Amino acid sequence: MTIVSATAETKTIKLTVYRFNPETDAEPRYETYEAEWLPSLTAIMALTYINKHSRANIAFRRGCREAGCGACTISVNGVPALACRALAQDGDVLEPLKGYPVIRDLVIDRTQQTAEMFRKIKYGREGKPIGFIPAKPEAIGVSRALTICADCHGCNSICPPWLESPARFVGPMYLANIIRAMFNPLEEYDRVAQAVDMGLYNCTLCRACTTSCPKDIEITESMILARQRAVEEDVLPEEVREIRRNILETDSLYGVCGKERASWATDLGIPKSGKTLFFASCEYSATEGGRAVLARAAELLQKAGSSLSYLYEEEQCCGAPLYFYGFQKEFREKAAKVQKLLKETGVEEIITPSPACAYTFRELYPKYAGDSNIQVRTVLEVILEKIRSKAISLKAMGNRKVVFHDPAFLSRFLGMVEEPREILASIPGISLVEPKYYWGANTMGDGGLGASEEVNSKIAQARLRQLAEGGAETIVTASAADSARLKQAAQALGREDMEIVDLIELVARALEV
Amino acid sequence: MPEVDEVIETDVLVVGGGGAGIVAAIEAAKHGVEVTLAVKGLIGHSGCTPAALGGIAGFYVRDPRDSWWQHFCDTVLGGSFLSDQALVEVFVKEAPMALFALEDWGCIWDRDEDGGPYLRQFGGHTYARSVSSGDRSGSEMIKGLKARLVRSPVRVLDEVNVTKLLIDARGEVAGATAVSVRDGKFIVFKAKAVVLATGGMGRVFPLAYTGDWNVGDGYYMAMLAGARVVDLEMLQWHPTAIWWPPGLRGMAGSEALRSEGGRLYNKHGERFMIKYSPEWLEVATRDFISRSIYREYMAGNATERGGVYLSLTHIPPEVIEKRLPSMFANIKSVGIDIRTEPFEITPAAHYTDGGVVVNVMFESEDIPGLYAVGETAGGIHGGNRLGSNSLPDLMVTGIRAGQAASIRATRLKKAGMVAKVPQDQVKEEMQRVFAPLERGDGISPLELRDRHLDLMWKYVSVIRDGKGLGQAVAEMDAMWSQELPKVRVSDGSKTWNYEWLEALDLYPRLFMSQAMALSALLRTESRANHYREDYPDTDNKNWLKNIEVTYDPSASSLSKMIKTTARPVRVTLLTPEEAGLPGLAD
Repeated sequence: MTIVSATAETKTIKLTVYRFNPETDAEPRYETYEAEWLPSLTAIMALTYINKHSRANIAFRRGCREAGCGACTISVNGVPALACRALAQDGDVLEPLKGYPVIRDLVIDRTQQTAEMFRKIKYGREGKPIGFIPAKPEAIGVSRALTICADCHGCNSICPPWLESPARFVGPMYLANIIRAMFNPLEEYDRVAQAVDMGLYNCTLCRACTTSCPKDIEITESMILARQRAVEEDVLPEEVREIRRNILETDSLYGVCGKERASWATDLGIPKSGKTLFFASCEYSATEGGRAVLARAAELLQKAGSSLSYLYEEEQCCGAPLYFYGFQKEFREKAAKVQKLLKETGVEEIITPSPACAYTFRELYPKYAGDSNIQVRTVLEVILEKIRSKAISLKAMGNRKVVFHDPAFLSRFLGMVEEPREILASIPGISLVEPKYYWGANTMGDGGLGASEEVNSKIAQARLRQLAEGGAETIVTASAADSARLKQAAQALGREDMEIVDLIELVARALEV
Repeated sequence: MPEVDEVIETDVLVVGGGGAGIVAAIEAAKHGVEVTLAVKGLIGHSGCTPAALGGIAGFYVRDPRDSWWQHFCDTVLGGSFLSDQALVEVFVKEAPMALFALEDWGCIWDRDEDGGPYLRQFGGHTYARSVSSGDRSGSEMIKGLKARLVRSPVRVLDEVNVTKLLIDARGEVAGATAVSVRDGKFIVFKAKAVVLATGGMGRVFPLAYTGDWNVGDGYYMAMLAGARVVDLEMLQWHPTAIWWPPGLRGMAGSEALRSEGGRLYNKHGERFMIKYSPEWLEVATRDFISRSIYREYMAGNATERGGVYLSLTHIPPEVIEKRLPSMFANIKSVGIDIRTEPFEITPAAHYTDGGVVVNVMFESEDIPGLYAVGETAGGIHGGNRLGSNSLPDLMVTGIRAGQAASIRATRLKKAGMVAKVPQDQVKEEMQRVFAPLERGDGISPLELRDRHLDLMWKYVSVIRDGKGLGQAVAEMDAMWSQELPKVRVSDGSKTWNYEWLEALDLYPRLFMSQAMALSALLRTESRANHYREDYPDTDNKNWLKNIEVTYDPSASSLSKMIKTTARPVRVTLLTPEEAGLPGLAD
């Protein structure tokens, strides 16, 4: 028995590899190589093949070949992956992980940082000998889910707060280790206070880590569980307490009064009750820019044949931030209250421009407030349906190069990646450029969910630079919070020349031409 | 001529950064001596520990019938009576402590409803005595070990490739030489004790379930320094490595797949283990399963692609998801759902049962100050290691060797002894190490590596015979003397040079493979993991012996440099007669 490929067919694939040897090269470069294809060919198999047959001598790390040790992590098309598991596809681009110094080619230096960080977080238990302590199997579930983490650094390399503001956020990998200890019933060290101290609330919940984790660990979910523990133990930063106060007292995440929030609808004559509720959201109704989009959205939907209702000053916050900040009890109460209000007004469908609210109504309410049979759609879904059914047709506004910024709630929570692009494609004259990093790689998270102003603005600036790289004149996005953040970033970076516009606004303009 | 770039003085040098190396370093550092750990890869991301799946044996107190003595008998009998019984005794008595220690270090094992440990029974163990963490016990363990390590004063050197042990005029350890993988610096370590924790040599085979760098460099360095290495012909075959889908080829189908009820079928859909072992079925020992699969291959019962089927489809899906989460996820990632369809497996090189000949403190019997731990130490597992015996092994051997090394270092310090590094050895090693970078032209190290892998698979793997082994020995002699001196790295860079690493690894690869082939040639019987087609029976009358290999520097060819000797097995507690081994008398 010899090792041969069991398939008769042979074909080759092309891979582009980042090459840089600081000893001899002034600049990094990219080179393309051919490798023989085999079903389920992995990146390591391909690199081994290339090194043997092209004598390319590409430096890359190998370890257990079992997806267990976390040594071989590289970036494949901008997303971290274990090279022993990532399936190599024709056209793939292999790069070293972002955020670490490159030793050579795909090999990064993570030694010093790892040692320092683990020492700092006193990783592991205090080490009092205690022998075998009985524990309930269910008590170790969360800890167990995080055990399979191989400390591969993939999540760090893609984490916006860690890349842009490492002093404020320890990074998902290290935080996951802290949370693993937090849910170990044998642990004695105060892991909750430590997690908060190390930036638990500076995670923007953008799910970049979770959607790219090679071990499919629900890192974001564990952050929320850890925040629930922080609430239970009352170890909260002041900003977070303020957010709870805002929502519970003023019914607005941003503490803006109901009259101001509803001001956009004054002259539109939208009825207060009806089957289809237009849910304006805190996000959109807090700022003047957001409110302008709301007016456009409502007009557009009415024009396209939807009969809307709107609760005006009585609209309440859906409670999403309560959930995401770990106020489990308050969220349950809030959700029950809002659900009751909606049922009383006879709402059958909610249409909202806010992806965060849509996610909350669609995914969280059935779990925490019981089933209501209320259909939930984003404004973009309605627009797309109208475009597809030709109920509306969009006209050219001249040629324009645009780039789309995916808000995390839209792309990673609701899974809407293709939909906004399809809408853009249906506007004549618009050409879409994609940022260098794949949509999943670097969204900035909802601007409202990172507690620290500094972290948020740094992420937004980094994101603006990425978006501007492709030479687009206009940034289109689909979240008022992200728009506001990007606008601030453009101002800070002196890039006011770049127009930042909500996709709803753009569609409304294309309807009017 | 390059210069020594750095001299590092330390009391204890630990070589290797998998579980055993970390434990030895932590333990040594507890006793107030300076400890440096050098690892070819990254600390905590090296060797096999992070990828270990199954469990950790040694929880005897839950089943009232169980005891260290039962574990002792299981280990010795599972190893086909080749174990060094004094080492096994130490191992089984101290294994329970390892489990408790790990929970103190931040690990937590799966619990049952009553709060006690969920115990698994692995092949060859009489009772369920292994704790686990799902099917990622190694991952749980390495997290605890890393945690403990960062709290200890051990100096860790990532990506420093130790290439040679330095021995002083008295024949004791004086240190080691190394090259930094990152910048090619040549380093001389002066040390009072060296602990080898370099793992085994499974990667001399093309299909291996072991860390990618485990090519036997620890054994090679120990032999060159004058130490004996034992039981090398006993290379354990993991019976259920994945064959198809090929992207996972060589990855182990966890032992737990079988202990949770997985079944093996040949291409006719026949559950062939009924034929070979009606009593144990799929939980027979690993060597037995491997050979059974090979017998199926030889009978023409392999699948079209060349493996046999492993099926879990009769097991409730939720049991698979809960008890085998990472197997499920891994295989799913390349498109096969093990809840509903079988996949194909084949034996792959796994654990090197043999290793450096050591005493009960895991110090080489030949070189004072040289210790070997984990897979690098020989003796505990005899001819075949039982599942879930390797993780407790690395704890027990690591702790013992770490303690002994620190005691030795303290003693030498008090006596004012300073390690005298033999400069001629350093110079010679420097020349050897840098030569592949400096040659004008020559042979590709990768090409030689792959040819050697194929040779090993063909002649020295699961089924061996005298003729094939003889062929392998002759070919390896030629590779060593004619090709190895011509190996040339394609660029002369000293910065993380992939080919250079491979070129340096060729020395242990060829040297230790030859030692394995010669040991296999000497053992004219079949036993445990060693199967000779020309001697298919176990010969307890003549072969209750261990084969030791030593190095003869004066010889001209590789096969002559390695001397093989057979000596009687070391019996302390359980005699072959008491164990009732068949065929002892005529």
